Formats: sequence, C-alpha cells, structure tokens
Amino acid sequence: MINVRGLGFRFFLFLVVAAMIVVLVTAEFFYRATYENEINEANNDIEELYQTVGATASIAAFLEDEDLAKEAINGLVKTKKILAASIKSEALYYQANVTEAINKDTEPRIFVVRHPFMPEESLAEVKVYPNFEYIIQQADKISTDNSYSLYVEALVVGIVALFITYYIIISPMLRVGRSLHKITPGTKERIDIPDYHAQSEIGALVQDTNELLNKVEEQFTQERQLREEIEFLEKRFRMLFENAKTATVLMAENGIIELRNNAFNDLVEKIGLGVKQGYGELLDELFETPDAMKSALKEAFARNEFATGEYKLKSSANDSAIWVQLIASPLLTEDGERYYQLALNDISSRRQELQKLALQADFDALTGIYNRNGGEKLITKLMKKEHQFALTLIDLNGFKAVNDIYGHDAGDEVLIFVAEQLKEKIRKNDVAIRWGGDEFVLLLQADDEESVKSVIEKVNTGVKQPFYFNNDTKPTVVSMSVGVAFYPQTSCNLHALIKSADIAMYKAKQNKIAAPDDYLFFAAPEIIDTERNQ
Amino acid sequence: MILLKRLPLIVTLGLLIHGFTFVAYAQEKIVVVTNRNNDVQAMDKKGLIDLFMGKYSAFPNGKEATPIDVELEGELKSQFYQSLVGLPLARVNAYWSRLKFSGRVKPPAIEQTIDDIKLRLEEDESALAYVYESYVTDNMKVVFRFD
Repeated sequence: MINVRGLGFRFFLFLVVAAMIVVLVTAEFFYRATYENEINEANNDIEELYQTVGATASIAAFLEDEDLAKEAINGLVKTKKILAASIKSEALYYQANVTEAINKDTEPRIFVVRHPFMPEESLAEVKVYPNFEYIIQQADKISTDNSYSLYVEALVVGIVALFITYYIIISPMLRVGRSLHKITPGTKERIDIPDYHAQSEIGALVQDTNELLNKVEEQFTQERQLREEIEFLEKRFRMLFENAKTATVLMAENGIIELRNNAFNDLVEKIGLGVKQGYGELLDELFETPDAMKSALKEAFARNEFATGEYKLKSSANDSAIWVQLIASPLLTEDGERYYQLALNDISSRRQELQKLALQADFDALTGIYNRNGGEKLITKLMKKEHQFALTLIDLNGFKAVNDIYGHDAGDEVLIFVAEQLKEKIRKNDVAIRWGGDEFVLLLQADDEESVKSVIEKVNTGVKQPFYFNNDTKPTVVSMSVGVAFYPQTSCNLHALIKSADIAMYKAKQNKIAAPDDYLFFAAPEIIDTERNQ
Repeated sequence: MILLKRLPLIVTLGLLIHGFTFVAYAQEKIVVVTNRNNDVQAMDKKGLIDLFMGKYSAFPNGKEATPIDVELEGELKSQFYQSLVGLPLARVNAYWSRLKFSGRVKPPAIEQTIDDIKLRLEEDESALAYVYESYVTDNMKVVFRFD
C-alpha cells in the first residue's frame, strides 16, 4: 500500500521531519516557558502552603511553643516543593533541612509571622527554601512530556496526512496510472475520472490526458490510413519492379547492390555469374568492354545526366552473345548519398534480327559477299572519304550455258565458286561485290593499271579453273570480261564511274571469242568529263 | 424575582439587627477585674491577651494569674473576646480546642454565671475576670477598661 519512494510517503516524511524540527526548535521555548511557569507556580504554591501553616506558626510564635513550631515547619517541609524551612523568633528557633538548603545556595522566601491577635505586631519570621531541584525536575518532566506529546502529535498528523493524501491524491492517481498503463494508444479506450475528482487537479490531468489520447487516436488513424496507402502503393511498385522484364538494380556508389529484381538475377545467371552482392563499380564485371561503358557512364554522370548505351555482356564461349541496352541514372538522396539506378534491357534478339536484316540488305544471300546495295553504300562511303580505288566490273562468259544445260542449282554453284575465287584472290583491303546476275564488282585499292592488272590476273586464273557437273567428262569453264574505271581519275560520280567501267567491260566482251586473253579494258577518262557535263 | 420583591423587607430586617447590636454595645461596657487585694493595679491589652490566650499564667509581677471565662453569659464572653482579640467566639473556641492536645497551655478557668465570678473574685486572689461595668463591686479591682 505504501510506496517508499511514492508521493505519500515522501509527503509524510517531509511533514513529520518538518514537524520534528518545529518541535525541536519550540521545545526550548516550551521548556523556558514551562520552567518559569513552574517557578511561579511553585512560589504561589509555597505561599499557599505557608498560608495553611501560617496560623500554626503564628500561634507557635505567640505561645513560644516548640511543638507547634515543629508542626508548622514539618508541615511545610513535607511537601516536595519545599526543601527546607525555619522559624525564628526571640524565644524560638526551629529548622528542618536548612543546612542542605544553604549548601545548595538556595534563596529562601521569608514570611513574617504576625501576632495571632495583634496583627500589627510581628513575632517571628519563617524562611522557606523552595526545592528548586524538584521544581526544575518537574518543569523538565512537563516540558519533556510536552515535547513527547508534540512528537507523537506530529507523527499522528503525519500518518493522518499520509492517509488523507493516500485517499485523496495517491489512490486516485494510482488508479489513473493503472488505467493509463493498460491503455493501448490509438484505441477508443479512455481514463475514467476518479470519483469526486471532476473539479480537482487530478480530474483536469485526466481530462488533458484523455484529450491527448484523442489526438493520438486521431493521428494513429491518419497514420494507419497513410500507411495502408503507402503499403498499397509499395505493393504495386514492388510488383512493377519485381515483375519487370528489364533487369534493374539500385546500387550504392561503392557498387553494392541495394535493390535488384528477378530479371537482373536471371540475367546474371544467364551469363554464368552467380547472384552476389555486387559486380564491381557500375556493374563492370558484367560487361565485355567495361572501360568503354564506364567512361561513357561517368561522362554522363559528371553532367548529372542519365546515360544510355548498348553494350555486350561477358559470356562464356559456348553461349551466344548477350547485348543489353543500359540506362543508368545517378540518384541523390535527401541525405546527399549517391545511388545509381541501372536498367539492363536484353536486346540480343533484336540485335540479331537487325544484323540479319542488315546482312540481307547489304549482302548477297547466295554467295555471302556484298550485293549491289551493299556495294553502292561501300562505294559512296569510299568516295566520301576520298579514298582512291579502282572499280572493276566483271561479267561472266558462259554462265548462261551452264544455267541452261545444268540447271539453276549448277548456276548457283558456279556463282558461289566465282565469289569464293574473288574473295580468295583479292588482297586484304579489296572488296568483292555481286552486282547482280552473273555480274561482279571488285573495289581494288589501286590508282594505276598495273596493280589492277596483277590482281585481276590472279582472279582470272582462279575463275577459269574448269569444273565438272553430274560426272560429266567434259569440263565446264567460265571466263570473264572486265572493265575498269578509276576513282577519282575516271570520274567522281558513282553512276558515271559505273557506266565508264561498263563501257570498258563491253569493249572487252566483244573480244571474248576473238581474243579471250584480251579480257581487261580500262575506261577512258575523257568520256567521264562529258558524262559529268551531262 | 422573588428576591427583588422582598428586597425592602430584607433591608429593613438588616437595619433592625444592626441597630439592635449597636444598642447592646452602647448599653454596657466591659471591664477586666481582679481581686481587690491583688497587687496589680492596671494591665494593658497585650498583657490581657497573654494571660487569656494562655501564653503566660502569671501577672507581670510574677504572681500566679487565673483568667476566668463565664460559661453562661454568652453575650458577655463573646463581646469580651471580640474586644480583646478581635475574634468571634467560635474562633476562640477553635483556638483552644487545637491547643488542648499539647497540654502545656491551659485555657482560662470556667465559672458558670456572673455571680459565680463575683464569688470567685472574692475568694481567689489570682483570679482575673471580665464583667459588665455595672456589675463591678467593691470586692473587685478594675485593671482594664474597654473603651
């Protein structure tokens, strides 16, 4: 019931201690007052006592009767308040205890003994020595008793105060405290105002607390709603993030991945790297050319822009190459921490498709060398760069017969064979193009006829090799007629250049039976000028 | 209320009693007398007190003194003691009853009537008594007069 550190006990203790101090301080005053009072009272008592024996003393003095004097004096000494007494007249002296009193330096009270019948005449004097020791002892006893009773009173007041504070303050506070303890913040629970405390400070405290609880509940409700909204959003975002096909990571500056989705894990698994905490700064462990990627990214980051690029991922030898489109953006948190968001989009299939499309556009499906479209692009590019080259137009002789006699498959075989010969015989920087049908173009890095001739001779030797179809004993031989035009000597215009070469080739064609060895003709430059003028 | 109604009666009664007493005093003077042959010629009041109240049993000249009270003359006795020691008779009796225990002090001797006193005074030379002035005879010697 009593908490030693609680308010009640503290209050009680302070009250009792304060009362004790007051008692202690006042005890001295009490003592003095009591002492003086006792002395006065003793004096009064002595006077009264004397009055009772006065008549006897008077008669004794009158009759000079020692017995009566004894009676009077002994009567006085009998009381504790009187230590000694004596009576002295001309004819009479009697005393009791006077020596002791004189030894104790006690001042006597002197009473004049009058004549019993003639009051105007004094017969003797009586000395009464008060028993100061006893009086002081009495005073001490009384004041000690007073002090004790004050101490007891203080104690009683303290205990009563404790009970009062317990029932008026502490008990309701404890009840309030207990119910407050049980209350879960944010619920509808409230503290009941203790009985009879509606207008008291405790009541006010409870009301304020309840108001606080109201506010807390309100806030809790709001927060709960907000949290639900956030949770809902988060769930959606998580779904969005985790189910995204784009591998996405949120990465700290030191390369540690803070957040990743399944697509990213799938990607690293795919390229044979296990799932781990990080893959180097900016995921460079994933890329085949990390330096290029990193420099591009850092450049963009330095401008505080996002970076995007297509990069090839590292791959083990047997796997097909994986290309990704990398979108990297730097993020700065409110705390000034730097993060990177990197999204890797697998674009391998798209890239393959594109490559395939590009190949289809620029290369001949049958022979694998450039087609006319690719060739023209190449020529334009060379022209733009102002590279000197020799455009060599080749037309096969006897191809139509093969086609007619042995069928298209054989024709295709011939074309493949020729293309291979062309590829094989030209130099590293030369290019072979299937211009269409049985027409081929060689772009030779040469600005003089001699070097062209030496290359074309090698090619001619290769092409002229005989081959046998369907176990035919008679070999089939394909020959070629060649027209050459130089860029930029012959012409700077693509069409003019081709036309010049075509004219030269046509000239050579006319010799195919008459002079098969004279199969190579060079275009005349002057024609080009007229072409240009057109 | 009753007391107030009767107030005049009480006052009258009081006045009457007072007047009566006064008359009595005025009527008779008391004198102290001895045997005619006694050597003592006159005494003072103190000397009378000493003898009548038992302090001494002899006259100042050393001769035996016997103070005598009159038993049946209450009025005289009372008046005498009132005049001598200023005390009512009851107090005087109390004084004696108290001293009787000690035995050393003797109260005055007792005679019944004034006539007995007269006789005693004639016979006893040590006798000392009080009488109204009018009773004084030739055989008595007045030693003190109350005024």
